[in-house]
Amino acid sequence: MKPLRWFWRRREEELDEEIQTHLRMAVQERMARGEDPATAAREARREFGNVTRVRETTRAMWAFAAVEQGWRDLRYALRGFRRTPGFTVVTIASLAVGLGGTATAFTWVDSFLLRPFPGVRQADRLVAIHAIDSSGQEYNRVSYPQYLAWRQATNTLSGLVVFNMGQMSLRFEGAAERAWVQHVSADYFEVLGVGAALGRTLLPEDERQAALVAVISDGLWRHRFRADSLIVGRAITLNGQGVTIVGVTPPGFRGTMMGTRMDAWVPVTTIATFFPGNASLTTPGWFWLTAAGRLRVGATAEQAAAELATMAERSPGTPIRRSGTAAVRPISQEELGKLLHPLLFGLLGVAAAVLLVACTNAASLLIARGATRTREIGVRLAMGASRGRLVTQLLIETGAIAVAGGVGGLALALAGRRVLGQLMPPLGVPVELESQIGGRSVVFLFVLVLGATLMCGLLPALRTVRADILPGLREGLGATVRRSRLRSGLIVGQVATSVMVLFTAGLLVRSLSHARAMDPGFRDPRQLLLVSTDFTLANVDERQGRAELTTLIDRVRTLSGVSEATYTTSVPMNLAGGLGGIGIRIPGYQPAAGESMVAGQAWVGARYFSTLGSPMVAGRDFDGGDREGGRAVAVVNETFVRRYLRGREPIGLEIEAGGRQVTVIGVAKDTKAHLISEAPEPFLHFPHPQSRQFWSGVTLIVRTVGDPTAMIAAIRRAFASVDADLPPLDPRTMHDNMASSFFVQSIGAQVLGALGAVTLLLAAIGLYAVLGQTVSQRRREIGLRMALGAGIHRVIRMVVGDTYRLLALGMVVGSLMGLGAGRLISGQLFGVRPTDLVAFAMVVVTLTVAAAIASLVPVRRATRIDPMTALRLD
Amino acid sequence: MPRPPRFQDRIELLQGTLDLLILQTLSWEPQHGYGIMQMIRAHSSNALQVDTGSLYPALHRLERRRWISAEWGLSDNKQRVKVYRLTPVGKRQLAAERSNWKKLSDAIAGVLNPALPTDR
Repeated sequence: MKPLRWFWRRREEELDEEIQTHLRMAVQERMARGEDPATAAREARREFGNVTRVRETTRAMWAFAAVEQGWRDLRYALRGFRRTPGFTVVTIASLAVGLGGTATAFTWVDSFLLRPFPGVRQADRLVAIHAIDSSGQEYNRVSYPQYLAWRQATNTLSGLVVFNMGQMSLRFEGAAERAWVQHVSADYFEVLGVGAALGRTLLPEDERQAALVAVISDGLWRHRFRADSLIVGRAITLNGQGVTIVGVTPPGFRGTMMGTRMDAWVPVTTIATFFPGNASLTTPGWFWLTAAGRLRVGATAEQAAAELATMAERSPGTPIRRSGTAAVRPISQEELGKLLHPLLFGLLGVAAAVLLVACTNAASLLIARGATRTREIGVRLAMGASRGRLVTQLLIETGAIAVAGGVGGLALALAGRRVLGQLMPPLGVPVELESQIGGRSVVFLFVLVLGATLMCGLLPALRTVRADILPGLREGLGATVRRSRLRSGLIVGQVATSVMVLFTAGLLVRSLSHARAMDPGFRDPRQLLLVSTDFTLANVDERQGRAELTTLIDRVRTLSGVSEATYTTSVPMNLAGGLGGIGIRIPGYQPAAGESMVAGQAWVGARYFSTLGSPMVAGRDFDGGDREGGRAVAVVNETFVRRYLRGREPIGLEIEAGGRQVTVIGVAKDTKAHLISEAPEPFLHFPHPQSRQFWSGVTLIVRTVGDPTAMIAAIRRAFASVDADLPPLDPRTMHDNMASSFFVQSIGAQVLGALGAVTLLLAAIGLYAVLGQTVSQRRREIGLRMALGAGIHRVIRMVVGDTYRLLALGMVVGSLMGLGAGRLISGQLFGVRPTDLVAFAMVVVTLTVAAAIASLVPVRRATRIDPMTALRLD
Repeated sequence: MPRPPRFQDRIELLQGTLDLLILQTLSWEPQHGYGIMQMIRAHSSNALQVDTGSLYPALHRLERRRWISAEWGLSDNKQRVKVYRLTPVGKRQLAAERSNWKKLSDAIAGVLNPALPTDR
């Protein structure tokens, strides 16, 4: 930069010299004509005109002058910012919040909606095929025979594939672990346009012969096989079956289920080999596969839907659920995509609204700053600076702030890459949502910065420069204090929004603390370790599975450090998982018309209630005697007794459940099955060994003496000693598991809390800007009143009076909105009413404190006005 | 909203005319800015008074287009002055501008003194 600056300085000096010579020559000529030196100098000067203007317009002719000028303006701006750090920091913060939010939302939209399936060729030509039955109900799964018939007949699709994902047990040089495996048709990779990075993908004969081969993902290859380049041809064990790895997918490819991690792909026809007894392949009525097709060039989604519908009618052997039609949907809106689509676009809208408010705030701040610079601008105009130049300079100042805000925004977007994945509820699939910040996002952010510069800079700049020279020079004498109605409305709106969001966040935070403090119905959940498993993953039959479960629980019970252990099919207070309801009949209870006689069910091991630390309300716990072939028994809960027995003795009662006669032997306390906010429902516990069908998916509940996580290794060894292919899944404490039951409140509190913080920050900045503006505009008036003896309280009232009235109005409006919002989310509240006074008081206090902080600087500035300085006209 | 008085409102030469005048003046001899101004005034019998706010931007613009070149020299009374001279490119440009000006003034003259049809 140095040589360039030297060059420019020299040119400036030369121009000055040229002008000076011109003037000197004019004076000399006038003196030669006989004028006296003073007159000659004055007249030459007058004739020449405004030197600054001539210099400026001439300089504008130089090449690169614009760039150079911009550089100088930037340096001037930075000097100015150093003088007013408060203004600068507040404005940058305001823009960073708005830009960061919008940029983050855009990177999410870009990563998950605009490029949902990296590595897939022309993903926008892929469609998901849904079946619609005669009643209009839509199903997103098809059967395998149906798929085969369609694949043969279709003319509108150049390819048709099916896939279904599930967990499998993967063993390779060590203990079994879980892998997420997709069963796919053999042409899956070819139709998607995905080649193999190593080895090959699947071949048609793999599907025909149900070959035990697998293509693994790049992620699994790197993490589990240490990127072994000789992996192709190696054998692994999936669900107890030897499988040969034939290929590895390219790094970018993540499958066709949005936001879901995939470890391996196997031919769809191997399902019966991996899961013995699974007849889904041959059963026409078994709808378990997601179908996706690639539209042939020139074919539309509507044509494909029409064709598939006629095919469904023509092939009665492969019915679409009781003869119906087909629907064709964009594949990016399947599964998680269906959830993310509206969510992300909504988020982008909210972020854009926040950005708009942030920009308006920044504009307010700039107008306030402009007001304090009226004199500076006036002087520069009088010196001959053109308005265009001044506007450019003010815009460059705003641009510098916006760029700083943009950098802050980029940092926010980077920090927010993984946030979306963390906000997803536990869905029972391996969610993997990490956004990529690509070139498109950077360009988007750049455009935003540019837009923000113009949006918040142009109006204040024009307004500042429009100020007439003379009043400006006289330091705002007679300047009227104008309060724009728009800005007043904005303050009220910001405060109201902030109150509403903070109030709802407060309600959820209070619900959360109630939920955490609630008695879950069992003792000391931090001492309970949960480990899940599924015996189908070990490829064993029912008899062997039952035997292995008995051996496993016996071995875990005898581990040192374990005080008690049991197991269940349905962990209480667990969002995902659990079994469906079971139909019941109770003698002596006449159901009302339309009353559904269904209760929740769990199949549990011996000493279940004792291990949980849940004392029986009546009767006894399950014990080793409740086994297969013994008397069928059940333990009911308190709600069951209250609803169906009406004071009758529950113990010994015979009821019918799932078509079996069972005897009630005990009454347990109510616990929540899934969500903290759910109402208590009748619930039945049965001994697991007495189930007619073998429930293969169970969770071990282990009460430990010391740190539960220290027992995980020993429990893993117990699993391996029982069956090498049996994977211990998701070890966690009961305390952590319970958090999933209030995830709605927890995520709601986090999201609304963050949004509340943002709206509060923006509202405070808005107040600060308006107050600062009031002080600058009424500086002389305040000085005058102080000179006339007005006390400090009077001054403060002058400054904050009007604005605090707006604040109060905003709080009233916000409270009313908050009451409405509270009613909307009342279903998710726990232990608080939607009109909770504590949450309301919290909001009022927070906002008052924020308003006080925002007023601090402007008020201090007002009270420090020196009447003499303010009144002097100089 | 009152506007500040503008200096260039005094005399407005036709757009591009100033360039022609400068090039023509420099075709006689190299000259400094003040001299160019004086010569234009003298040759127009004081009718054309060039504004400095137009002259200097024009000089720097013509220099950037390489129609004229500038160098520092000494004036008659030994002052350091920036002297402009016409370049070969500028000479060609002057010829072109002169013929343009001729066409323009003929056309304007035609409008102002129309050759009216004589027979009725």
